[in-house]
Order: sequence, then C-alpha cells, then structure tokens
Amino acid sequence: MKKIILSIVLSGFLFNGCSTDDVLTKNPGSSFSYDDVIYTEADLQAAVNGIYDAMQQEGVYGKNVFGFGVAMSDIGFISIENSNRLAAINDFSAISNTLDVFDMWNDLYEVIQRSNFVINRTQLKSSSSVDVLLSQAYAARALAYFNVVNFYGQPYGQTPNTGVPIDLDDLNGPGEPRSTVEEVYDRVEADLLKALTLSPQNGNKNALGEDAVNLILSRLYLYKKEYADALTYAEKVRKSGSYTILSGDDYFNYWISTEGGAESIFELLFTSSDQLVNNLSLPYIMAVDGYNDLFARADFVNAMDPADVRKRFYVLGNKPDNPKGYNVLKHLKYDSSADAYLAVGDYDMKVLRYVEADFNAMEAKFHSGDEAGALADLNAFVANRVPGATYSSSGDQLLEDILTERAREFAFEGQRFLDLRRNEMDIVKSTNCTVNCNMTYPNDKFVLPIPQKEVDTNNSISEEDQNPSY
Amino acid sequence: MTLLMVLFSAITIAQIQVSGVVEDTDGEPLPEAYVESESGKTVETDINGRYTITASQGEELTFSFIGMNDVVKIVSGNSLNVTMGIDEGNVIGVTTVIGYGIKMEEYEKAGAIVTVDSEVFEQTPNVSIDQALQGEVPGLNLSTNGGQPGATNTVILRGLGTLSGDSNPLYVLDGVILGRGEANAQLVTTFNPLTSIDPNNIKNVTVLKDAIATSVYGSQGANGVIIIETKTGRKNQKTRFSLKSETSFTDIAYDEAEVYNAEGFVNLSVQGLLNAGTFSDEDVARATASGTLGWNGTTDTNWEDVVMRSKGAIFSNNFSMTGGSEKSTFSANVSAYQNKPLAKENQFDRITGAFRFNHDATDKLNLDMNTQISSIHTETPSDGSSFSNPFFAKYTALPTNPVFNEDGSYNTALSGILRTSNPLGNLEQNEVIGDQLRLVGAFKADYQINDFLSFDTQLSGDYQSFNEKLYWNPEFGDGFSAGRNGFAASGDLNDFQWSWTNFVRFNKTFSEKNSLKIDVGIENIEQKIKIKYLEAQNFAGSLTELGAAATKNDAKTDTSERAQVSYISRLTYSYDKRYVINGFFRREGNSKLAEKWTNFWGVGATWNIDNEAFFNKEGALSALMLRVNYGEVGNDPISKHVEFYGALRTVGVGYNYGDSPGIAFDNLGNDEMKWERTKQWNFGLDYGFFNDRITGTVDYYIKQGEDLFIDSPLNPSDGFSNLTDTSGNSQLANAADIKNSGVEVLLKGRIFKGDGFNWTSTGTFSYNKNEVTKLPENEDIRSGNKVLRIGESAGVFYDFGYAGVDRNTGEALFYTDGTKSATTSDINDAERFLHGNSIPSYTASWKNDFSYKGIYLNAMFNYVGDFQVWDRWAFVYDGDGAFSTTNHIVRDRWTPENPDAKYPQYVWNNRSNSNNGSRYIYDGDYIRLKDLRVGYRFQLNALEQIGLEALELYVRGTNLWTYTFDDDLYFDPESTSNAYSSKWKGTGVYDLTSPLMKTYSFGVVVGF
Repeated sequence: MKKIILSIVLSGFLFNGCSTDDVLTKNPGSSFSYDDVIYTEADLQAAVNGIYDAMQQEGVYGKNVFGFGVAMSDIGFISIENSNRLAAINDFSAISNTLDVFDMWNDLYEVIQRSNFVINRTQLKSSSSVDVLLSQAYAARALAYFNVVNFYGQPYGQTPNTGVPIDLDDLNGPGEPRSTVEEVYDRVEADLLKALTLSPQNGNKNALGEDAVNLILSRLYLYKKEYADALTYAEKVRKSGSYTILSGDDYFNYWISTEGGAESIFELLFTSSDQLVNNLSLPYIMAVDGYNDLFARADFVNAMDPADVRKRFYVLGNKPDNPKGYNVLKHLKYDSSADAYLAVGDYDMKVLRYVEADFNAMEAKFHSGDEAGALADLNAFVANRVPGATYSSSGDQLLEDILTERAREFAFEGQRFLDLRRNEMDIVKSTNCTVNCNMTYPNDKFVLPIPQKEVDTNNSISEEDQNPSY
Repeated sequence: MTLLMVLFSAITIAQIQVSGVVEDTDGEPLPEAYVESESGKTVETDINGRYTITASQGEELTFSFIGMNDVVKIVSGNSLNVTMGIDEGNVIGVTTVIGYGIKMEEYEKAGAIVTVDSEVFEQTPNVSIDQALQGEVPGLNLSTNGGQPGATNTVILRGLGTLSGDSNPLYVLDGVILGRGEANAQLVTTFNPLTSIDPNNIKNVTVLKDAIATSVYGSQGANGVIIIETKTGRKNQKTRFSLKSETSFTDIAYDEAEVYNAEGFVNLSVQGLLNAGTFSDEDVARATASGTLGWNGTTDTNWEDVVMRSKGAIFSNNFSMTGGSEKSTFSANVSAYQNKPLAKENQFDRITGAFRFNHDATDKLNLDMNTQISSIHTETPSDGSSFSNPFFAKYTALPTNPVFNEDGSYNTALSGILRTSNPLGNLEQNEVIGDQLRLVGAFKADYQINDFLSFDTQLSGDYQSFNEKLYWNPEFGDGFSAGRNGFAASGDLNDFQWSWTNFVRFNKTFSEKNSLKIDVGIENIEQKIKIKYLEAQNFAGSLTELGAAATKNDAKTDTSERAQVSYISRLTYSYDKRYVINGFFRREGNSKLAEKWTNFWGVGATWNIDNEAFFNKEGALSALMLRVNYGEVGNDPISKHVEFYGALRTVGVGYNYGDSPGIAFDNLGNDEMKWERTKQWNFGLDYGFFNDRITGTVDYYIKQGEDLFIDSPLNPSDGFSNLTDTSGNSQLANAADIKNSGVEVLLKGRIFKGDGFNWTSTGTFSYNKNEVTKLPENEDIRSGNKVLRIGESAGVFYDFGYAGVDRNTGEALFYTDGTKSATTSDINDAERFLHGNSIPSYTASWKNDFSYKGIYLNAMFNYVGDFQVWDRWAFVYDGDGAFSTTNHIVRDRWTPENPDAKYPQYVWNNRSNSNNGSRYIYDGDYIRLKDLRVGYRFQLNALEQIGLEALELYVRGTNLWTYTFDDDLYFDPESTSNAYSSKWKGTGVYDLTSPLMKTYSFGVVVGF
C-alpha cells in the first residue's frame, strides 16, 4: 500500500513537472507568425488582397471617399429627414471627434499600412509575377495618400501648406509629424512612378493596373496644375485601346446591372462573402429602401438636357425637402424581380473610369492654351451622353462647361468637392441648406479636422498642429 | 507506520459520554439535529432534542440543523446544551476553507476573509450568485449589465486593480475553478456563465480579498476569490428531502425617462423646423412635420408598452435530498428556473442537477466526487443602438406611427430611422437564442499517510458547450434590407478546461502549543476553446435554419489554447493559538505571456489578543484579533480566448477580397509581455463586545498594481486594424500602475436576543480610493469621454463642460476650460476637463433581521456613493433635434418666452453640436431597498402531526425602492457596467441595456 501511494505521489508530481516549457507554448490556429510571411507568391497575393479589403471599408470606397465628395459639394445633399449619416459633413459642421472624420482617416491609413506591409515584408526575388503584385501595393498606397492629403491637408500650392503624416513603416512608432502637401504629393508621384516600373498588370479590372496608375498620375498632375504631364498620362490611358465609351441604354445598364463593364478601369470587387456592412454603406444611404438620406439637388438635375442619358439616374424622391431631392441610382443594382434599385452589398463599386482621362485631357488642354482641342474633346465626349448636344463656348465659359459636364459625369463618384476646391471655386448651396450655405474659397472648412484620436496619441502632432478653425 | 499508530493511540485521551439538549432560539427542542465529533463520530438528537455521544475532553462537537447555523462547542464535562439560531448571513469566526483543501481555524485567520451563508442565496429571485452578494461583503461593488436574466455583472473587490480584461474575482465551485464570469458569447447580447449555478444549492460563499487569503489561487485570484461550497449530507444521517418553490413578478426598478406623445412630438418638431429656418410658415412646417413623422392626427402609440409584457415573471422550483451512511455521505439536487422578463418573447430557462458523494474507502483513504450539470436556454434582445433593442424602441419608434396596418400586418413603413424595422415585429419574428450545456465535475482522493502527513490529488474539469443562433426574418427590418431576404448566423463554442492538482500536507502539533501546517503542491491547468461560426442569407420561405439559406456568407472555425503551471507552497505556524505566522511562495508559468515564469510570495502575522492570559473575555471587550500581512501576487488579465495570443506578433486572416483569401498584419504583439503584479498590505482587526453580542472587523489595505496591462492606443496613422477593440487601435503593454487604498468595516449586533424575539443588525461600509500612478510616458490615455490620467481615478469622465443655455439665443453653452470662468457656444473653442469618477468610492449596506416565534422579517438597504454615470446614447434622444426623427425625452426647453430653461432650443437637424459634453453625465449615488422578506416558519410540534420536518412560507421583494441623489437622473445607476467594454472604458456607462428589475416573490419551503 505504501508503495502504491508513493508511486501515485511521485507520478503526480513528475507528470506535472516535466517539460513545462512545451506545455506553456501555444500557437494560434488562425493567424501566421509575422516572421513566417511573406515568403511565397500565395502569401503575397493574400497580402495584396488585404489591401483591397481595407479599401472596401466605409471610410474608403464603401462610403466616405465618394460620400464626402458629394455631401461637401453643390450637387447633392442630406435630406432634412435623415439617419444622421454624413449629416455633419453635409453641413460643414464636423468637429475633430466626428466619427465619419475618424473613419475615413483611419481606414485610409489602414490601406497605407497594409501596402507598407506588402512593400516592406516581401522576401521574394523580383519576377514578373511578384512585381505585378508589388506594383499594386505602390499604386494603392499612392491612391490612399492622395485621398488623405486632399481631404485633411490644405489645397496644393497654398499657404499654409500643412499636409498629413507620411508613415512608410508597417510597424508602429511614436507618430510622424504632418508633412507638407508638396511632400505628400511627391510621395504619391514617386509611388505611382515606381508602380509603373514593376510590370503593372492589364486586364483585371478588380485590381490596380497600368491604366489605373496612369489615370491617377494624370489626376495628380491636374491637381498640381502641371498640365503637360496631366495630358501625357491622360493620353496614355486614352491610347490603351482597352475601353469603350458607352451611350444610351448601354451606359445606363453599365451602372445598374454590369460589373467590370466597358468604361471601368478599376472596380472594387464586392461579393456576398465580403459585402459592405449594409447600414454603413454609401449605396444604403442613397437607396429608397435603405436610409434614403442622400439626394441630388433639384437644380443640378433640372439643368440636364432631357435627352441626357445621365438624367435617368435621378428619380424624384419622397422626402419632405423643399424642394424635393432626387434619388440617385448610381452604385445601386437593379433587381428585376422587385423592379427596384437596391443597395445589395455584393455589387462592385466603380472607382476609376476611362472617361476621366478625357476630362483630364480637356482641362489640361484648356489650361495649356489649347482651347480648340479641349472643346473638340468635350463635344466628342458629350455626343455619347447627350445625343445631338454640342458646346461652342470659349474662355472661362469653356472651363465652366467642362467642369459642369465633369460634375454630371462623375456625380456621386467622389470628385465634385475636390474639383471645385482645386479650381479655387466657392461652394454655393442655393437650396436645401440651413447652415454654411455660401462657402467662399479659401475656406477653413474645405479642410477636414485631424481626428482627435490622432492628436491625442501622435507625439508629433499637438492641438497647435490642428487645422485652422477646429 | 505501525509504530506511528501505536504512538497515536498512546496519546489518545480517555473518552467520556457527553449528552445534552439542542434547542432553537425560542427554546423549542430540535429533533434530528446532527452532532459530529472531531474524531468523526456522529449521532442525531431524538424527538426531545436530546443526544448522547462518545467524545474526549477538549474535542470539538459540531451541531447542525437544516436552515440554521452550525454551532461548534468544545467538550468540557459530561453535559453540553446547545442553542441554534437561524442563518444570519455574514459569519465571523468559524473554520474557513480558503481553497485547495487548506483550512484555516478562526485563530489562524490571516487575511481579509468574509463568509456568507446559504440563507442569502436560497430562493433568491436573482439568476446568479454574484448578484446576491451585493451588500453582504464590504468592499464588494457590483454593477450589472441590466435586468435581462443571465446578464453579465461587473464585480469589483477593493477597487479596480486592472485596466485590461475582466476585473471580476475568480469563482471556485467545490474546488473547481470556474473563471471570472467572462462572457465568450458571439451573438447573444450578454451571457453570464455564473448563471449555470443554482443559488439554492449553495451552502456558503467565502470571499477572499487580500494576498495571504488568495495566495493559493495565485495569479487567477489577484482580483479576489469567491469560493462556493455546495450542500452535502452528513454521516449516519437519515435521508432528508426538501422542496422549495417560488413565484415572482417583476417590473422596472427605476426609470424616470418620459418621452413625448404623438401630439407633443409633432408640436416639438414644428417648433424645430421653424427654429431651423427651413420654413417660416407654421402651417407649412406643421404639414411637413406631420408628413415626415407619418402622423394622421389621431395615432398615439406608446411603444414601450408595445414591446413590453405588463409584468415579468419568474418561477423557481428546487428539490434536494441529503443523507449519509457510516462511511458515505451524499447530496442530490434538481432545480428548474424560468424567467420571463419584461421584453416580450424574451426568456431564460435553466435546469440544473448536482450530485455529490463522499466515501471512506479505508480509514486512511477518502474519495470525493461531485458533478454539476446545467442546461440553459435563453432568448435575448439586442442592446445598445441596435434597432432590435426593445429598450431603444421607445425613442426610435415614433408615437405618430401605428404598430399594425389596418389589415393586422406589422406596420413596416415607419417614419424616422426604423423604416421597415418594426420593434414588435423584430421581437416576434426574429430570434436571438443561446443554449448552454455545462458540466462541472471533480474527483478527489485524500490519503492520510500518517497522523501528520497526507497526500491528495484532484482532477477537475469544466466543460461548456454554448450554441447561439441569430435569425432575422426576410419580410422587414435588418433581414429585409439590402436584398438580404432573411439573414441568420450560428455560433458554437466548446470550452473545456481541466486541471490536476497534487498536494502533500504536513500538519502537526508539537509539545501542545506549537502547531505547524505545511502544504506543498503543484497544479496544471489546460484550457481549449473551439469556435464555429456560420452566417447565411437569402432564405426560402419562413424557415429559420441556415440550411434553408441559398447564400452562405461566412463559415469559420478556430481553436484557442492556454496552459498554466503553478508550484505552490504554504506554511502556517501558530503558538498557543495566540501568535500565528503565515507565509506562501509560488512559482507560476503561463502560456499567454512572453516572459512566462515568475515568483510570488507573501507573509502575514496574526495576534489573538483575546487568547492572552491578561485578556478578560468577560469584560466589555470580549474578542480581539490583529492581523497584518503583505503579499505579492500575479494577475493574468487576459480572460477572453481571442486574446490568448496577444503577446505574439501575428498576421491575421479573413481580410479577404472577393472570394480570394486575404491577410493583414494586425497584431503587433509584445515580446516583453509579463505578469501583472499586485502588491498588497492588509491591516485587520476583528473584535467582539459584550460577550460577542457585537462583533465586527475593520480592514485597511493598500493595494498597488504594477506593470498593469494597458491598451496603449496606437496612432490611427499607424494604420492598424484591431477588430477586437471597438474604440480604436491599440497595443497591450505592461505600462501602468494603479493604487487602491481603503477601509472596510463590518459591524454586527445581536441587538435583542431571547424570549422569542430576536433582532440582529448588520452594517457594512467601505471606502476605496483609486489612483492611477503610472502610464506610458505618463501621458493621458483617452477613450471616448473617459481618460486615464496620473493622480486621478481610473476611468474618470473627461469631456466638454456643459454650461447651460444662452438665455438670449437658446444655444447650448460650454465652458472654455476647467476653470469654468468663461463660456462659448462654439464647441471648437471649448476644452475638455474632468467630470468625476465612474467607479463608486463608497459602498455601504444595512441589514436587519427580526424574528419572533417563527415569524421573521429581513430587510437590507444598500448605498453606493461618489460616482458619475453617463448615458451613452442620450446624444440621440436628448440632443435638441440633432437626430430629429427619433423621439426625445421631455425637457424644459428654451423658447423666447422661456429664456431661463435648463435645456437648449430644439432645432430640426440641429448642427450646433449642443449634444456633446458633460450634460449627459449624472451623479450616480443611490440608496436602494435591495431585499425585504417576511415569512413564517411553522413550529416543529405542529408539523410532526402532518409528518413534515419543516414548513415555511414567505413573501419577498427586491429593489422595491430606490432613491437617487441627482434629480435629473432618469436611468438606473446600477445598470452601468457595459457589455461593450468591461474595462475602465465601460464603467459608469449606461448602454440602453435591459433595466434592472424589482421583484415581488411568494415562496414555500417544505422539508420531510
């Protein structure tokens, strides 16, 4: 008996005592060790997918980049009966702890961090299949910085010229100070040019490729008022020969029932497995069956020619606004069984479209003194949207016509506010507005506040570095 | 060994016959009371309460009777009469088990320990035991996630000692570690694992508060330990049966929020539209308001009534039996509990069974087995700002809209933000269901090697299977929107934890006065949690199972593991029952940390002054004990399985693009992650006056938490996504210190005793000062309107200071800074400043027990003081029109005719940012009548004739009366520990959770 007891005692202690370091080593089943990636092309592809995943968030192309671009402009508004989405943005009354302001900043920097992770952690030798993925990371980082600096930094070429922090590390740090707008633009330009050297892809419209990079470059130079370069890169896109400008029903259907259509350079893919969080998404804010909050202004819609195919995107709304706004069908999908335009969540968001190259070229030509070329391009384009319409204007009127057409073409695609701002124009909301209706350029409210959380945690940014008036 | 036995019998003292009568406090004899000697002999009293037992001089006899306190007496002479009283809650001065089989005699008590007896838990309408403890233990502060049955609670002992993870103490059931009540629910709003324990089955609960007391639990016990002992039979006891039944009705305990009716809200909206300048003509504004709010001029819906039952109901039934033979004892217990809370369609059902068996295999080998099995079915609402939250419905659903269409179908064309999301329809047609099965069991063998050396081994396991399901119907609401056509999710969690503990124990008395106890042991704990999650939409018809859905959105499984190894040693030396020294040393290793191993230790001394020769126990001061101890223990704040690997730098999965897999670097990790360390001093005093008519304890403590884990916020521009923390991106690091110091007082007086009438009064009081003493770079850490700041209490409110209304314009004013010397209407010109603690500094309770000839009345009042509470969602429904299509709380608002109003002007789509700042922070202090119970216990001789042993009838009320010190406070200040964060970020935050209930109960207890 004594021996049995003794052996139980000993075995009890020995079992417990042996190899405890093995016992205490546990590894997760569903994440990788940082040191074990990125060693394969499959890893690299997955990490690049992670970048696009970040772009799907509501702070980026899920809502805010498009939504801010219209809510801060003269073509759309938030109904007086609303769910409070984008409401403070609409009224230029956002403050540093407004959630939308934080979301866009944070989500855009997530795109940047995931791009940094790909760029810094890839342990693979250069090859065409590796480079094509790296190229996308550079392009994504450039596009994200371009958006951050345009919304949170001062307009390019102005004084003061405070921009946003540039952080090229995938790790954390004490926080980077605000770079100048010029420095951020230089970063964007360098990344885009780098992307072009890395055999960018063509053909996959759900990934950033050569045409996308050229188009962003042309937009960048337009914002920098470097018109020769803007024209050069616009022409590269126009000469690619991979796209068709649609007209009539084809154009309408391209928006409401087609994914990866003829005019698209880059569409952000959404499937049922990564659909937008519905009640946070831009389509849901617009859809009649959704929040039904974001409308096009009546004067914007009414100014369009009845023959303009784009006018079909606007349907008189049912909210008690005065005057009533128009529901917008862009970004929604037509459901034939319900005969309704729905925010379905698994429908691609069209981010970069071919016709922007035409518009960038028009503006570049106009500012370079080639008014005839600009007018010819404008008329060539408009013929696709408005049968029989032609322009014959010149001088300032021609520029205004170009910008008006640009507003109609890219309405609710996140461009109008920045187009007005970069052209140093006022933003006048003549109807459906209670506060901040006549905003003259320059204007402190044309720059969003740096989110309070960034000010609180970033050692290099203090309250004194906050944008004016916040 | 044989030699030792000879020695043992040689020193055995001659045995004598002891006899006497056992009576209750009314002088009635107690038949079948149980008498047990230290050497293990047992007898029962006869019909006249008489007993005779063989015992030695100086030996202890323990007397027990169902429903009464055990009484321990020392044999001196042949006669020993005993009076037994009713359980009176907190017990001071009995043998206490502090865990792992380590017993502490009264005179050995080294730390701060409070024992609460079963009366407190029996037939409580509370779902879980943690709720029943409030007010019983000084220094214990409880706040709840609300009145939803099965809601989690936040229990804080001696102040907030950790900044990450749960601050709850460790719960131990019959030696099985149950964890800290942390919820691992995925879909169900809130689920408290402690609800799987039936409070009726509890014999007593011991609360361990300081380092010496909790030492055997080491790092798991750093926030204190709550030890639950369940009932068991006694040797040679005839089998007894007991049946208890209680029915309760419930209603909201405290809710002062009044919202507008239809006409009132339309009028307010008209005013708002005019104030906004949207319209200048009142008729046009009225037409617009009526149109926007969908008012036909007559509808007036009270949505709170629509989504609520008129009364909640609770049904509780318990059947138990206990008994024993010469070598074995057993107890068995079955109970059923059903709670139908106020929110319609919600329910909580629990069935539990427990079995406990103890057997002497030989003179030296004792075997003990206990098992608990429980099955819970719960249907809960959503909380927070979810449209499915029935408690949000009174704001989101407008009184201008009818519930039903004329044809009887749900109105799914609601105005405002709900649209198709009909609150009643959501309750009736959608589901959030949780089903839990839990098995807790332990097997223990105890071998007495010789008279001073023993060995025991315990193998215990805790298995939980938790199945959750969420379903949204395809017809309206969230399941309809965005073409979902019905939506469902299903989660499965399997959690298995086992531990093996081995101890060698030495216990010997030398030359009569020196006693030495040494326990040396090792413990190994492993836990494995498996998760399964499925999500699908696009349903065929009205079926709710995921198989009926055409589109599968998500499917994932995951496994998390942890392990902990501890080497434990403990020593107690006492001299002549006067001087006692306690010490412990332990070495612990934990898989979750980067620096896995560390050492902890503690020492304590106790002086039983009343055992000194110079002390006169017959004097006014009849008992006195001094206790001092110091100890350092670890804390492992990581309690959620998703955080088990926080120390590792990892790249996460699930960041997919389209249907292609995606990864992202999302967890920075921390290769220096080590144990949190709590260093605690405790100075204690136990005293008794007038032959212990008045007894009590006073404890003073200083508790310094060092190297605490803190979610150090990352710069948003670092770009990390952190899916587990809703408040932003952060990294865990051992970078903060917190100091808690305070006083706890327990005072109990048997004010009136004898002649059939008894009155006992018990008071507790505690004060705790919490102070953050170190932070990363000593800079503020902010989260929402909370801040951690050096020198301030953790989780102090930090926000813009609301300064009332500009009487000329009706705009809200804010103080420009904390000096409150100037105001501004532009919030961009205002600075944030401190607005008070979110964790109470003071708690107190006062309990009175009266009894007269079987009639009894118990009442307990609770006071919680010096803290602030904040309504997280008031900016929506108390925001002057910023959310103009949600109903608002009725307020005294500014108009040109009412310039001295307390609240600003109502403006449709108000963009003035007036709905910010301290205006939603209230003084949370309250006094509450927590428990009131009146009952009658039938006299024994009357019962004999009908063959019963016990019969008791009672009525009981909980939370019947509440007094709040802040006139403006409209929500329950106790419902402020938050599901969205149990950390410092969630303290004092009201999140529209189900309100706390007041209950009216009727019960009967039958024993036979």
